[in-house]
Amino acid sequence: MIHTEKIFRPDRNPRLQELLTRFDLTLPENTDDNVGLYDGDQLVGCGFLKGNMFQGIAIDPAYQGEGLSATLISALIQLAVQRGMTYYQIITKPSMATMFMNLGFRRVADASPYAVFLENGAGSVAAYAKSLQEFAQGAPEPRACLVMNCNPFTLGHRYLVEKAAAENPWVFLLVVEEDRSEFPFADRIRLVREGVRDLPNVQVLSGGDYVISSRTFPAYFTRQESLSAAQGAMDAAVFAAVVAPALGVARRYVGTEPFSASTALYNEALTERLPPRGIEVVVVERTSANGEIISASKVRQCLREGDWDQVKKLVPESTWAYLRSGAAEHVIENMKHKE
Amino acid sequence: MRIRRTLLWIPGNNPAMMANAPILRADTIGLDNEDAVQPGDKDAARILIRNYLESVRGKHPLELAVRINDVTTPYWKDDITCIAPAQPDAFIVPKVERPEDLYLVHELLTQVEKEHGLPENEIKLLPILETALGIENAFLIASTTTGRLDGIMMGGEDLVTSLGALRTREGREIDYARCRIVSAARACNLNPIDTVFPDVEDIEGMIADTKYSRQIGYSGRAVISPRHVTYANEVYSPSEKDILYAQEVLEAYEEGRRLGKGAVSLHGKMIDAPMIPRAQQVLEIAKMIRGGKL
Amino acid sequence: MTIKHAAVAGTLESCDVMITVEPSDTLEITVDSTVKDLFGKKILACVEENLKKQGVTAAKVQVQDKGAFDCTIAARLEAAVLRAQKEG
Repeated sequence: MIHTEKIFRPDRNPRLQELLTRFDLTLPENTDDNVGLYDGDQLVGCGFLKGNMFQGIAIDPAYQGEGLSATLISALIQLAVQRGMTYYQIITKPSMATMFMNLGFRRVADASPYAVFLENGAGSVAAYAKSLQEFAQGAPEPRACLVMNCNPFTLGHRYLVEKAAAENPWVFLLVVEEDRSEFPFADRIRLVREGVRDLPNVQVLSGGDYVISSRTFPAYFTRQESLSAAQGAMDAAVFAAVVAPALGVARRYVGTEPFSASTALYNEALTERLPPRGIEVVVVERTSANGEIISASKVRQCLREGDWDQVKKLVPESTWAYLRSGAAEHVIENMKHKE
Repeated sequence: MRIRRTLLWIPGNNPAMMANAPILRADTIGLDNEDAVQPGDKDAARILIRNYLESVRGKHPLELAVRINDVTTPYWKDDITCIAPAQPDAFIVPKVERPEDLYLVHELLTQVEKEHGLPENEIKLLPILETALGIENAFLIASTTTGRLDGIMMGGEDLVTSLGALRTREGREIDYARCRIVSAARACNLNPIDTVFPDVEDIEGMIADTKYSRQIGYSGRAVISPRHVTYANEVYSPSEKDILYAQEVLEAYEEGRRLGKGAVSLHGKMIDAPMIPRAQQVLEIAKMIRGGKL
Repeated sequence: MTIKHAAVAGTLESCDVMITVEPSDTLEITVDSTVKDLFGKKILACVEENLKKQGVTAAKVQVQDKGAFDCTIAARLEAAVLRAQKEG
């Protein structure tokens, strides 16, 4: 008899591994909950919940087409609602997109051949786009845009924003909202605002539910190289479909990270996919301090090591004050422990 | 007493299957809020079952029964209070082990009937015996006097666990239990209803097992798949020969009475008292199958 | 009857309906159905009627219909409202 049940110890389940591998998926990490679809005691399907995103959805081909996708998704939605969420997202392979749309999911952005981004429930991409539009009303053109995590806001970020602000009459800075970063979103966006306060033509906005970070994306693809390319493709798809039209943006600024192959692939995807949609991509070389590239990951590394001298060289005054304050203390402690 | 050749289990939280139920040709539908519904959904399922019963009331020729949760769970009382007002034909009570279990349900049911102005004692009870203790207490349970008892059901799957036995295709491990229930039920003039054949795909095995079931005295069984229904119905239905014989038995008996004969014989054999109700039952089943024509 | 927190009942399987209710100051119902063009209004009417019966005057209700009968819609709505009253 088909029934749904939680999969305990998904990391120790060979049958689950088998199921995921068949769909070219890896086990989603750090998920909040999951649902297993069982026929008697045989696992024939699975789905994971991370925040409000459904991940790692797979159903044994022998069982497809029997309405079991509806059973699985319904069970996931029940889980999500029990956790107080009435809005859900799925990033899935293009081949599965139709199945989800038949279950009532709406397409937000298409990053084929890698993935498709779908949503369901309360709230909608249209409402989000409308709210963005309201922010953009009256802003001079042409407008540029940056999308950043700022975990935390560094001099590197500052440099990028400064450049965009110098070259364009108006700049939108979207801060990725999803809270899987070490520094909580509320602090991150505050630091960004403080860090660019002196630039009158820069407007800081929250990314909302649609600008997703690479952290929510992974685990769908097994090959590391395609992961970055896929992330970039999805970023471009959402940006071109939702963000840019709503904000009236014609340019996207991105920074490089010379020794990071993944960043290169990511940027490559943007450079490939945005211009055909009418959006210019400006790639800016990262600044360095003492020959070292300034990046947020470098800052976090130094914080873990307790190298405050180095940190001071990498962040603006506003960020420094925060890092030295009580507010950042527990975050830094957590980072040290989580190795 | 009702004839139930087949009792088809339908998950209580599945509107699609409930909608199809009438065309599936089982004598009784068992809307299940026990094993077929997860604990977190039982609250929604019982509302769905209730609404479904209200919507089909009077439109179904077949019997609508509801399996509640057993009396050791926190669910059974809500099952009764929520669903009884919609007047199912019967409540199926799983894992009955002692007469007290049935009296408990009977009491609550009587209370609900009073509160809602429903006809008294019309809703029947069908206990399922599926534990070692239940099997041993079969006769005691069958002799309870709630006035609602309308059959005794056999539950093989849970029983195997209770016995510490191993489930096999041939099912030898539940032989004793199956026969005991027939015996206890018949001793109290009740129809025994056999357990499901668990393998949905194995039609051959199901037919063989159902023939065995008929052989040992069952007049019907529960089924878990619509595919099993027609085959099972056929096995438990009287054949043309059976019907003819039953008619002859009754005619011979009638004639014997008219002529004032003390003992009556048919085809050289004496007609014993028990043969009369059995013959009547055969004709009842036949009548039911043929929609009133014989 | 007040909706205390978000709750859901029903499934996305054929012939069923998935109904989500959330707290709200006003009454807001959205219906999404495979047969929306033909039955959208009817489904909406069924939901409105049953909300009234349940005594719910303020809620955000999302209805995802997969071809459910009225009695199913009513049942799922009642279950969702019931669950929205439960603590924890």
